[in-house]
Parts: sequence; C-alpha cells; structure tokens
Amino acid sequence: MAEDLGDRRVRRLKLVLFCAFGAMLLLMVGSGWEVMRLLGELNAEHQRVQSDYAQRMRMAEQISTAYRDYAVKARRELAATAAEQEQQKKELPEVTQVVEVVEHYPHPLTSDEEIVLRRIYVTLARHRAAMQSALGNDPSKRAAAIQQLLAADGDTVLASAQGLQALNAGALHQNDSVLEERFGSLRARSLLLLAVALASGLMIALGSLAYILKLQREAQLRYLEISENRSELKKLSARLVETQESERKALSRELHDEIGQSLGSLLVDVGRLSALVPSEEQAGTLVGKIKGEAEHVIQSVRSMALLLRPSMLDDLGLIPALEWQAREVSRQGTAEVEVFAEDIPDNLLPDSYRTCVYRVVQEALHNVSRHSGASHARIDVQLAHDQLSVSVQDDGRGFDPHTRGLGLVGMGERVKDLGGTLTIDSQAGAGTIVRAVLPLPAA
Amino acid sequence: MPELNPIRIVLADDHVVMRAGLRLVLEQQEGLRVVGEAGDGREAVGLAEKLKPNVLVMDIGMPNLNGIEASRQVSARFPEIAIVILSMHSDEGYILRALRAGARSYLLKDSAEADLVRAVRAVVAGKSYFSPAVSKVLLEDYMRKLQRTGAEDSFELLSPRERQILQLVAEGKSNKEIADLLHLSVYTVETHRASIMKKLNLRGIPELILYAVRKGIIS
Repeated sequence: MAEDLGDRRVRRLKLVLFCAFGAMLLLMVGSGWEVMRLLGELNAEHQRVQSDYAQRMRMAEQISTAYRDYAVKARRELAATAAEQEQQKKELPEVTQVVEVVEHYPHPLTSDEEIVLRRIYVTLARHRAAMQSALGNDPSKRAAAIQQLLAADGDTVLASAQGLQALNAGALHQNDSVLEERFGSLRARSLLLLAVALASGLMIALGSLAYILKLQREAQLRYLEISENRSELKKLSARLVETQESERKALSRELHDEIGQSLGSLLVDVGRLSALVPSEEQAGTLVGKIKGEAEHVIQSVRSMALLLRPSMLDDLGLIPALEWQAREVSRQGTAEVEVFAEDIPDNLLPDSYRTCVYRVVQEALHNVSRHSGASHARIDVQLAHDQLSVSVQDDGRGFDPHTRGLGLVGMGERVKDLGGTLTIDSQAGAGTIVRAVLPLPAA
Repeated sequence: MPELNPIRIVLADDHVVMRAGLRLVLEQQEGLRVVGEAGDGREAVGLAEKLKPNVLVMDIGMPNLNGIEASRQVSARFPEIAIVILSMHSDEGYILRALRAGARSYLLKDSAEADLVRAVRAVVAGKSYFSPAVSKVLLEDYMRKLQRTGAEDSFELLSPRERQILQLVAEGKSNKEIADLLHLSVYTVETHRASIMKKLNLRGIPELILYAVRKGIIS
C-alpha cells in the first residue's frame, strides 16, 4: 500500500515537472518569436520612414531646382526679347514644368505640410496668371514687371520648399522618438519575459532537484533493503549448507558405526557358526545363505554411509578423500580421474574447508561423469601463499558457463561463504576447468 | 593345556560386540591369547605400552585417536609389536596410510573371521597379510588405470632377479636376510632395491608392499 502511494506521488510529481518544463519551453519559444517579429516590424517602419524622409527631402529640393531652372530660362528669354523690341509675341517658358514637379511630391502627411504645398500651388498659379498679363504689357515696362514677379514668387516658392524640408525633418525626428518609444517598450517586455522564464526555470530546477534527491533517497533505501536481504539470504544458505553437512555426518556415522559395526559382529558370529556346522548339511547351507545376505547388507550400508559423507574426510583428511572420490568415479567407468596433490596437514585445514573443497570437487566430478563425456580428468590441489587452490579439469565437450545449473550455484555459494572465489572456464569442445581459491583462515 | 609361548594379542575396537566376536574367534585357536581389549585409540596405545603384546589388532574408526594414528604411535615406539588393521574400507587410501603408519596386515571386517587367524600368524612370522578382497580391489584399480592411460605395465620392466627381490622385500625381509637367501652381497641387494623403486616409481616400503599386493605377488 505504502509502495503504491509513493509510486503515485512520484508519478504526479513527474507529471507536474513535465508540464512545467513544457510550458516554460512554449513560453520561451513564443516570446522569442514575438520579439523577433516586433523587431522586424520596427526595422521595416524605420526603413520606411527613412526612405520617405529622403524622398520628401529630394522632392522639395527638386521643386527649388525646377523653379530656379525656370527662372534662369525666363530671364534668359527676357534678355533675348529685349533686343528685338518688336517681337512682342515672343513666349516665355511656362511655369507648368515646376507644377509638374510639385505634383510629384508625395501625399502630405500633416496639415502644415498640406498648407505649405497649397501655398506653392497657389503661388505658382498666381505667378502664371501674372506672367500672362505682364506679357501683354508695354515692352518697356514688361521686363521690370517680369523681373519683379520672378523674384517675389521665387522667394515664396523657395521659402516654401525650405519649409517643406524643415517640416520633414521635424516629422523624422518625431518618428524617431516614436520608434524609440516602441523599442523601449519592446525591451521592457523582453526583460519581463526573460525574468519570467528565469524564475520558472529556477522553480523547475528546484523541483527537479527535489525530485532527484527523493529518488536518490529511495534508491538508497531500497539498496540497503536489498543488501540486507541478500546478507540474510547468504546467512541462511550458509546455515542450510552447514545443517545439511552436519546431518549427513551424523547419519553417516550412525550408519557406519552403529549399524555397520553391529552387522560386522553379526557376520563374525555367523562365520563362527558356519565353522561349527558342516556345510553339506541343511543348516550349513542356511548359514551360508545368511552370511551372504549379511555381507550384502553390510556392503549397502557402507555405500550409503560413504555416499552421505566419506569417512576418509574425517579419518584420513582431504587428499585421501579426494583420491578415494577419484577412484570411485574411475570405477564407474566413464572417465579416469587422477589426483595431483601433496598431502596437506589436516591441522592447516579446518573441517569446514575440507568439506567445502570435497563437495566442490564432488560436484565437479559429478558433472564430468554425467555431462562432459570426458575420458580423463585431473584434480589439482595446491597450498601456497596462504591460499588453497583446487581445480578440476576435464577433456570433455565443455559447456556454456553462463547457463550454470543449481549444482554450480551451490558450489559457488559454499566457496563464497569461506571468502573464496569459484571460476568456471569452459568452451564448447575445449573441456572445462572448475577452480576454487580459498584464503586460509588466520592461524 | 597351557602353551609355553602363546601369541599375545591386544584387541582395539570401539564396538564391544565386535571385540567379543573377535576374541572368541582368536581364542578358539591354539597358541593365541587375547591379553587386553581397548575401546579407543588412546587406550590401545596405553595397553601396547603396558602389556607389550606380540600383535595389536585394531579398528580404524575409533573415538579419541583413530586406528591409523594409534598405529603410527605404537610402531614408532614399539616396532616389535606387529599391527593388524581391521577395517570396513577396501580403499587404497586407507591401506596405503595404514602401511605408512606401520601396519603389517590389512583386513576387511567382512572377512575378519576367516582371515584374522591367518593374518596374526603371518605378521608374527614377519610377513604381510591382506584380505583377498583387498588384493582384488587393488588389482582391479591398477589394471583399469593401465588400460585407460595406455601406460606400460612397469612390472614388465623388472628383471627376474628384481622380481624375486621385490617379493622378498614385500614379505618383510631385511636386506641382510635377502642377501643370505640369494647368496648375494648386501650391497648388490641394495642396488637392486633402488633399481626396483626407480623403475616402479615408488616412494618407500609401504608403496612397495601395496604394489606387491596389487600384483598378487604377496597376499
């Protein structure tokens, strides 16, 4: 139940973190896109204002230039006609070319601009009319009148054109400040977004940190629990092995010493009986039969006792027991097993070590005769550098050590209980080496 | 009719019924007398020291001190006491260790009743004695090993003289006795002995005796 609750809480926390992270990401992407868009807009606006400004300045300049051109031409014509007094009808250049230029001026943006522009139109229209009437005048007066007209209207037009430029410059300045203001607000907004993103990022980071710490704590707890369980399991298995071994020992002793001895003395008595009864009589054959039966039973009891635990292990020591085991396997007829070992003084090896090594070798030989198909096997026992090393090597077909059976796992457990290591070296077709290395107990 | 020089025997076995049976078997024979019984190895060593019997008949599996350890102590201190080991095991490991511990005879309990008297008389005469079943097991192991490993039977390597000397050594004769018997010098006998040990790859008399039993040279 508690596990479930914890799981649900962890899942909820994970979901919240995931959502927050997604939202922050969306926010950052959205605001970034918005800022980019606004910057683009501002830039385009700035460009437009600049080009508009340049165009208006240029057009105002063109108005001035056109008027000056016109005035220069008009004066030149006037000077030419002054020589030929009679040619009254001689036409002066039209002011329309100036009007055409003025008409090209862009649409006025402010009423001030419009007033100035209209003033230019009006001046030019009046100028045109005045010129027509002046042309009709007396030639002597005509020149002076025209000169005066040209100068007076020229002042007006040129001043107006300058006025247009001044207005334009003012508009540009105003536009600049508007843009600046907009840019300022954009910056403020960006800063706000950045602050929000940072704050939420920090919160998510803190949340994640808390989550990670929690996970770590849980993992640690679980690890502790598992390692505790494992050590308990190990203790239990060691205890199990110990119990099994001591029971086998007790049973083996019981079989061997009590039942075996009783049968042995029975056999001695039967032997004496058979010596008393002539063998050709019925009683004699019966005694012979009893003797045979008793011998058979005694053999069975002995085999059972040895199977449970070889008495050599206790009577003679480890190496004789291994040699016996090797001979037993050899007698079964599958593989010939040899032992290469110096006799190890029994006082060097406590009972638990002798038993461990014996059982490991027994299991390894069991595998050799059951599964390997080997014809030869050798057992090597070496005692050096405060450690006992035992190996069982065969020339059989080998196997994949990773698919270790229960027997091999049991061997490993026994060896590990004494602080040693068990390695199994095997390749298909290349035989098998089972090696156990046990550190000797401190004397 | 009391004998003049009966063979004095001490029995050591932790099983009272077994001891009683063995005592009956032995005392039915002329010239054999059981002078003491021990229930464990330590007691057996004590009785050997106190009674100085001619023969000590001893089980292997005994409390306190097992039969092999007891044999080692007795034969080291009283080499004149002949030791007959009685055991349930026909395995070479036991036999070889019993011989190394100084035993002269090795009997299986199954056949104790039939073989014990013969064994006692043999060891008193300075010979070795092994139950026929023991010889059979040893021979079988040996033959199987030869066959499996394809090794040469090292017995074939011995010259007729060496085989003769091997048998005499295994029977418990000293170099001097052998030399007298075969009309050779003690030095020659020693040379033959060394050669035998080398050819058969044996270390010590117990292994030589075991080899001889295996080959059926002695029983």
